[in-house]
Amino acid sequence: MKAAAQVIMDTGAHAAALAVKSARVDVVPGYPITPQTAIMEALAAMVENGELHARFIPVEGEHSAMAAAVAASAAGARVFTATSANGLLYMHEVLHMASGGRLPVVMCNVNRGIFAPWTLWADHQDSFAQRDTGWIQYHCSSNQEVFNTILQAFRVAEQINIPIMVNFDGFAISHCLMPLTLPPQEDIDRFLPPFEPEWRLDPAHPSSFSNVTMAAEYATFRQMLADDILAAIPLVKQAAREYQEITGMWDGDTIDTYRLEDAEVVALAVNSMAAELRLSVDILRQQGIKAGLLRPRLVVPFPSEDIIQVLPRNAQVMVLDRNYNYGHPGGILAQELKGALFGRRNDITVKNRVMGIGGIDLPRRLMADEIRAMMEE
Amino acid sequence: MITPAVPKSWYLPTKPHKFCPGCGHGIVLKALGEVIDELEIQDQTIFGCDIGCSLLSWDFFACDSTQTHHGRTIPVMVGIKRSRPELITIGYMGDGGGYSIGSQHLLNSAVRNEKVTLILVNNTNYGMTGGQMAPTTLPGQKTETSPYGRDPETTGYPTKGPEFLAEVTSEGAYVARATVSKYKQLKRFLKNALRNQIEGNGFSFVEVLSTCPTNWRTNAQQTWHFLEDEMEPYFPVGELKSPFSKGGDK
Ligand SMILES: Cc1ncc(C[n+]2csc(CCOP(=O)(O)OP(=O)(O)O)c2C)c(N)n1
Ligand code: SF4
Ligand SMILES: [Mg+2]
Repeated sequence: MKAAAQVIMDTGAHAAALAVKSARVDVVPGYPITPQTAIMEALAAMVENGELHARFIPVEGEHSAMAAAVAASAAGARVFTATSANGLLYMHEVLHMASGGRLPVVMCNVNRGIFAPWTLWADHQDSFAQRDTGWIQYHCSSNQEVFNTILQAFRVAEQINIPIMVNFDGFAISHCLMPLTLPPQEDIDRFLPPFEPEWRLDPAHPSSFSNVTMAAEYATFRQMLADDILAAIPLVKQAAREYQEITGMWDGDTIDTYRLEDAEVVALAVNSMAAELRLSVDILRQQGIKAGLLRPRLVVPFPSEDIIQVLPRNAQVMVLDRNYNYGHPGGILAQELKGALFGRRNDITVKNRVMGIGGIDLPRRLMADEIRAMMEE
Repeated sequence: MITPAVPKSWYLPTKPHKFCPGCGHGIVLKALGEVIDELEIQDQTIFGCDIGCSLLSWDFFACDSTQTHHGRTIPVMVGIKRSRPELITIGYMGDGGGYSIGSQHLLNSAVRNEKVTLILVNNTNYGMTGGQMAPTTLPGQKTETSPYGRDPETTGYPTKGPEFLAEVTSEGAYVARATVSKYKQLKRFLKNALRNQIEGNGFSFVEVLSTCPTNWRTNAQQTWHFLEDEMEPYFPVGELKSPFSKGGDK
């Protein structure tokens, strides 16, 4: 008889660790940083008690964590690490080695505002500041989505040899308990087969890795990466569909929508605030406003085509950014959206607010009120 | 109400301080405050704290202070000292900040004989983030990332900072290890480390063995036992290099 799914209550950080365990990773380098630390602690314990047959490397900082991750991946291992905020910024240089080296590392970034000054709480400046590192980026809005997305991320990363960052908010997701469905391991194994790298460091077949190139080769590698990131979109959709077929769970593919079909006013945001925005949409509907939600799950590559297809005619899109786009008014999501729509959907109006910086609370009523205020502008 | 005597250099509106009850940081900072008073350097001192529980001291003294990135206190103090050599720069950090994420700065500033004073609080774990294994965690010691005890087979042996700094520094450097259980000696070492900067002799470093009952999950007696009977035998206290006393003060 087939094993049944198990339902537990768990935090987002622990959900991430459970997904990593069921992905049967081989190597986990890590350095603690709040609010990510709970993931590393859970994985370290799983490795020590034998639940997870992997090597945990307690490195001396995030720069080394990513360097070790890249190297282990090049040696053919399935690799996971996690970080937040300044840890992610400290990795920045090596993020490019993972993407340029075409190594399918999967990393959780637990979103937190960045220094200076210090803050512990969530905003999205950390992950959005890595937009141009050549990593694919998912952003998740529930503990279950974190679990599901990590498994989908390993699959997509290994199909296209591009590293993937799975982002979710510190505290609101990482430290809050929510119901979590754990599919049977045999289903996960069916969805995510063992990592079979096309190429790996192998002394029996010597080759050199990530070395100097001449301009023409260099440009070719860059172009391949740029093309392949875009080519990840159908793979992301396929992974979401097949995951649904096997487990019955669906969080959206490149995007997730709520009451969007007939919407005249569309809220657009990522991460936990987008979960709360569903409730804001309900409030607005009760007030007679035809509101809907469009939540990009993918931020890199930006799901432009899917957004163009799905937005109702003449909609006003209210982009709520939890980051700054320094040098421009407003946030980065709004700029991405405008870039996607320009010349394609001239019927759409885009308005923008930066909200929730440094973890300022974003309750449903506040966001509903803000959207109403934006409608007046 | 009896008000205990406190150093003049302390910033009183921030007292009582923010450390956990039983934490050794308060003892180190009390000794440091008294030394700042005795050397009369409060109005020349820049205090820089790392990220870690050391950051809870950002408003501890009535001195200029700065918080840095985790691990970067040392180059920040070096930058200040090189641009304003008349100032007294004190970098205050944990064993994680100094021996793991900032270790390249510790090594290189020591090799360059930068004329800064660094105080590193060794509590055998990453305290601020909730008690993970640090380079100083003792063999067999349980932490959040070594729940069955540190295994030297896979994670090596504890870092002995003063021992390696004594090797790489040049003449004029001051290197010592103190403990919060020997207050007078702690104060003497801190004073020497500051005198050494004032006299312009060279790099000055004091590691201080300290307590972290919150993450060790120890009561008062167990805390003191761990410090005196586990840490101190492993990390011998004393002066390892000093321009003031030939052979050092053991
Ligand atoms: C780049 C970066 N990585 C990680 C962190 C998270 N972090 C904050 S404090 C700390 C460890 C502090 O340990 P230690 O230096 O020993 O100081 P203690 O808290 O024990 O006094 C870590 C890992 C950070 N702030 N920045
Ligand atoms: S966690 Fe440990 S080092 Fe930090 S303040 Fe508390 S007792 Fe002190
Ligand atoms: Mg420490």
